[in-house]
Amino acid sequence: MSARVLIIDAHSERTQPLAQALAAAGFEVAGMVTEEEDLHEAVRRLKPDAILIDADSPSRDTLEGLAVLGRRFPRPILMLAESTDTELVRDAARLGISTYAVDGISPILLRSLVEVTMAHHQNQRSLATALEDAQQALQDRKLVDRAKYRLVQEMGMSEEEAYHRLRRMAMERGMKLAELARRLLEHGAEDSK
Amino acid sequence: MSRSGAPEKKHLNIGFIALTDCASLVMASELGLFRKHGLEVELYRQPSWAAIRDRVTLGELDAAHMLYGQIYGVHLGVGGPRTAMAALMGLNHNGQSIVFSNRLREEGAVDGPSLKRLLARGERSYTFAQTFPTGTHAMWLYYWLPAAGIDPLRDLRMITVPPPQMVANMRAGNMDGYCVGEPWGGARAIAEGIGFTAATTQGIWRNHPEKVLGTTREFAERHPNTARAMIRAVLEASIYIDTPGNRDRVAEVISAERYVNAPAESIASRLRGEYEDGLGRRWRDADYMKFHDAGEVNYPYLSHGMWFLTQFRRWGLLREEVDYLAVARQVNQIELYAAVAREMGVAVPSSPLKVETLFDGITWDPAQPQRYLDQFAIKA
Repeated sequence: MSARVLIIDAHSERTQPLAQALAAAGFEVAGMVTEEEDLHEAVRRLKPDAILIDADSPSRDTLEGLAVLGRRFPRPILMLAESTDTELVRDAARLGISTYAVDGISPILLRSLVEVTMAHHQNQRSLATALEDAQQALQDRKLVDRAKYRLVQEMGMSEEEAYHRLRRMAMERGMKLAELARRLLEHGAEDSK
Repeated sequence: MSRSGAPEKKHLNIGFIALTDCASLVMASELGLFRKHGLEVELYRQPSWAAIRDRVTLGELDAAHMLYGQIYGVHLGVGGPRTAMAALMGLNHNGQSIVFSNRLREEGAVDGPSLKRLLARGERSYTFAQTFPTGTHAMWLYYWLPAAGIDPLRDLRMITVPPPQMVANMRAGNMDGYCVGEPWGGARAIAEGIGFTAATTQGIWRNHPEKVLGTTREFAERHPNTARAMIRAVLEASIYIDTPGNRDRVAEVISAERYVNAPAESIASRLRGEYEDGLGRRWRDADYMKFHDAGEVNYPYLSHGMWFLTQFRRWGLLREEVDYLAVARQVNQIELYAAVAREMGVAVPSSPLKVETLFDGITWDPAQPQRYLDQFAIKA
């Protein structure tokens, strides 16, 4: 027993890993389309049991239009009351996931579909956060290097002296080293003394 | 502050769609009217009507700019989840358009009858779009086409497209016509040279109901003071918008990127009642978009909600008979609204039912909904 899932996503780079995660969990990925494609045609052709779409996608209204056409078209899962609990749907919505499914889909499958997708998105999100942190750290180090170089140039210090001076100034002011470096570069060494 | 007491909930999130008729919510915020009545309101632009529905029913939005038909669809669970809803007040009348593509004009269709003749030739299939299956635009298009003998369910392919994407979709050649709210109707389509206005919705139904301020019934019952404060702030904004001389300022404010995100002039001209159809006809439309009209716009007439229910029946969206009047009484919060209106000296009509005649000469008498429905030959 499996469910055919259609993924509608504007960001193809994140669709592929989701498709893999779904396949690994036993779902059949019927297709991956972008919002620009003719969704009426795609849904009629691929006949998915469930559709995953970004909660903020304007194309959701197109799916709403299909949902009223008959039982063979996926509908918003909130209305499949017996199959879902509101808390799960709410949590999924917070992660930006919106799910449509046909009437009669197994509640267990549907729940598992939402959970696998949520886990995947959470994973992606923490990866994105880690990447942001790494970029910030790199940014900070560049600032400190530039401030240090400036002290070397303007005050004739050695690199090590400049670094210690920066650290002392930051400690005295209760500032982060990168923040002090940024201020020093903006206002010059005199202001920061 | 209203005499009705302090709001039970002060911090509110209100959703809207990028359309000219979100103006009273935006102006209530920009003019400080929510704050004046004890509310701290954050406005959130929403990407789709589905998002509006989900976020209002899940409680992430406390209230929203909603399509009149949509709020009834949600209340009855038509095509989507069912949640008891509350329409606090009407937000506007008029100001939507049915647009045809230039390709249709080249093929000879410029109005209903000529479209009927074109369809009869059967040269190709034709696609029309509306904004939400239970929405007002769907109902206007579904009402207007049959008057020319066109069956919207059988003679055309009907799709759903969100308002700000209509113009792009027509430019891409994905559709032959659509019904949508301004500025995405006539104004933008003409400015971009892709289509023309085949009909205005005020031409279908003079002073028709359009958007409402919607929330869930649970919210309205648990927060009556908050609901009254919202109604009061939006009523004051509506009066401001309908005061001559304020409309250019309104167009300027709502044109901002975080609101409608369209050139101010494409909003302003039709907001002032200056119309052109894109085929060379220009006119001053007395029935342009109204936000107050001495309270006629804002009073949530039960007969308006009932009309949408008759159309849901007509098009097979509502599979079982319902008590039209009883449902309208559940949704439209006439007592909440009337309390605020009386306090402000805004006229409250003596009856919540209004008899109105649409452009095809057929009279909508809310006392006879079944007889009204029986008159329509084209239906699901």
